[in-house]
Amino acid sequence: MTPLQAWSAPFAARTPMDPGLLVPSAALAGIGLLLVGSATRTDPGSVLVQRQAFGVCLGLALMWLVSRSEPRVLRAYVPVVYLLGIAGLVAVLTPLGRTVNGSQAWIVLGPGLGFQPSEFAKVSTILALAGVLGGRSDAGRPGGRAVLLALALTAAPVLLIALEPDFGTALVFCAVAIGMITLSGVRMRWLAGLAALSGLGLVLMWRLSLLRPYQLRRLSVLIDPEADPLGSGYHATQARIAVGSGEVFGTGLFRGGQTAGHFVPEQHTDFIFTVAGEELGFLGAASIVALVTLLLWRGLWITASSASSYGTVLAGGVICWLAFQAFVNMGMTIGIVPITGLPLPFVSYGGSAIVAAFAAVGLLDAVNRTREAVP
Amino acid sequence: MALLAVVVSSMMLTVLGRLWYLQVVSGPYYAKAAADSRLRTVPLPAPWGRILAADGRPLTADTLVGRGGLETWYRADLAGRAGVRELAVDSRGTVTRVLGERGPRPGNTLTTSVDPRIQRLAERALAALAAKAGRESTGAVVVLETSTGRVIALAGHAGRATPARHGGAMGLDTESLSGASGALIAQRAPGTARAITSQGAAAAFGFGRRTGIDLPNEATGYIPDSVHPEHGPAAGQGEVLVTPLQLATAYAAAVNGGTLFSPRLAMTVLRPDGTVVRTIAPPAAGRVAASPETLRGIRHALAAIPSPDTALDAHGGPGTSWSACYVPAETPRYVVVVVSSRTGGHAAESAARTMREGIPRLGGTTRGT
Repeated sequence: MTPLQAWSAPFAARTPMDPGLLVPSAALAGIGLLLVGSATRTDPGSVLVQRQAFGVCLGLALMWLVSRSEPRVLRAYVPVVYLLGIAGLVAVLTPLGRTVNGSQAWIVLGPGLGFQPSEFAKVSTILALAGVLGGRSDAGRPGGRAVLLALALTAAPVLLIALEPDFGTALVFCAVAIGMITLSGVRMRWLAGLAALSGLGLVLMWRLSLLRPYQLRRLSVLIDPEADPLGSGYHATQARIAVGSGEVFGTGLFRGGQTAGHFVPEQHTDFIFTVAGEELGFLGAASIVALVTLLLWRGLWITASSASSYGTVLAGGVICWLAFQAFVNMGMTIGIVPITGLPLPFVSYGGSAIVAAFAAVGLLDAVNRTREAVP
Repeated sequence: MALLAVVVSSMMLTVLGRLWYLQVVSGPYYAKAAADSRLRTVPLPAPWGRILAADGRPLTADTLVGRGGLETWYRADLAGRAGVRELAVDSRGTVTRVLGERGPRPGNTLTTSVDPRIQRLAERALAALAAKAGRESTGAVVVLETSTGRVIALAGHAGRATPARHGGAMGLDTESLSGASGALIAQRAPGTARAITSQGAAAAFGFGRRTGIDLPNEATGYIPDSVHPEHGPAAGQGEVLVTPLQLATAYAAAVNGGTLFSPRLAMTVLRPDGTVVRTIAPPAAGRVAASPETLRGIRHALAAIPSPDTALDAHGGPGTSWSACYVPAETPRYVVVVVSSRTGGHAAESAARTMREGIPRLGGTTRGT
């Protein structure tokens, strides 16, 4: 069997994509295009919508390709994919990397053509962790060695991303690792040890003042945004005003005064949810939450019904990633989570993030096909 | 697995709940905050239109022709429309963007029939009068074009202590009067006016009602109530009060065939590009239904050079002196009315004489009729 035949397993070609995955993700991407258009409508000559549309097309194509893959075949490529991800994260710290908003997170290949290796690394790390924790067979729960290996595999990208620095993204990896280790069915004592380790780490960060002053301010304005209304509280306050002023029905798409006035910084990327809040109101914002929830529930169902522990951990990893990132992103715009630079999956402007998110949905679909193929 | 489902569901429910609180419960509060924080409206004042004399030059601010009054009266034409610039500001008050701008529309130009040379002459005559009469005196000079009712010159001063009789009752504020308002203040009427009134023709000559000139704060004057003859002229309140302007329109009617004009200072309203918005002509407020003898008597009296014996009335009554004349005397083109609160020394007469002798010397008029 050639690699190509192996990739395109016979069962895969005949079944269409799972609508429970395709519809919410495509709908979110469509809404995202509208919102990016609205957020950039007052910038003359902005081509961000076109670029975003290109990213969506690329993402849909990659999703289709990944969904057609045989997860076990894919698994053979995991070491290569993981190392590529790490290589990207290393490259970004070299002079190849470009600093945007204080984080050296981009590799720019040409004008308007750049990507974020950390987005690719999310997929590659999830694949790697699934490979380690999923077990070669259904021989039972992974042992301590697998857990340690998983922690090491997570630590590498986390440390590299923390150097950029991009702590929000680093936290995504931590959340994914914790979720996947928990899902893999390791013994309780490992989980307890992991929790203790996490707690110790947090205390150390606090005591050794590893948090930077701006991060502490972001934490404090979360509790009281008025504490620093012109500084760190500015994002939080403006985001809340934009979202809150949408009220139930919103001001109407392309009609938000806060959006037009560019009061909320980074509104087309990390704060895209405020555009939905202002212009589409509670109904629109809640619809986005509903779409995200639908996608996550479908993913949870796939996770639960996977025939293999590899599929379970893989799908679970994707769910942890998307759920954590969506929650942190939406939460920071409405003042329940500290502000971190995380995009809203499928919706925020950013080609790398869009492509990576669609690839992740492709992974979910691939896991789903495996279940159908192996009764 | 179930744990993950619970965590995911509760995260999404938390977001939903917070959205509900922000948008539905606190929505109106944030909507107001948004409106407060994002817009700053900066008015862009429109330049006022100019007021031009008959020679096309601007009436200067110190011209005592009631420029302020014209600005009030023709405010809608002169003011233009202020523009507005809407700025987006952040919570720091820093302007982030210009959201939009509507440019101001400059005010229209007002041309008047005021002949600056005759106006200056009137002002000089009045200044001489005031110099003799003192600061507390009132005085006014009115020059009307008899055939049209247009105001050619209008000068006046109103002393602080002078009560604006039957003008004060209508909210006339002598403290803030512009110079021209002296012509609008009711004074004790001269003999001719009293004679007209006694003939029952007061209303026909427009006494007791405003002429309707395009200036604010015009007094109505006063005609004794004929219903109560017991309150005759001997009684203080039975005195005839007329404004210099009322008298001027009446005298103009005496030589123009009987048309009682509502005088106008303004002639045209022009757009900034010079095109005409509208022309303003003094409307006929009525026709004088006086006997030919009465009109002839007025014409005859005013044709003479103003002097104590030939002027209409050298002693308008206690505290007032009047003088009036036609210029030129034979073919009256203008009517000049002078009033002063100074009674002695032929004060008003000398001012009227200044006008009567001075106007013909100015040569050709600056404006065709």
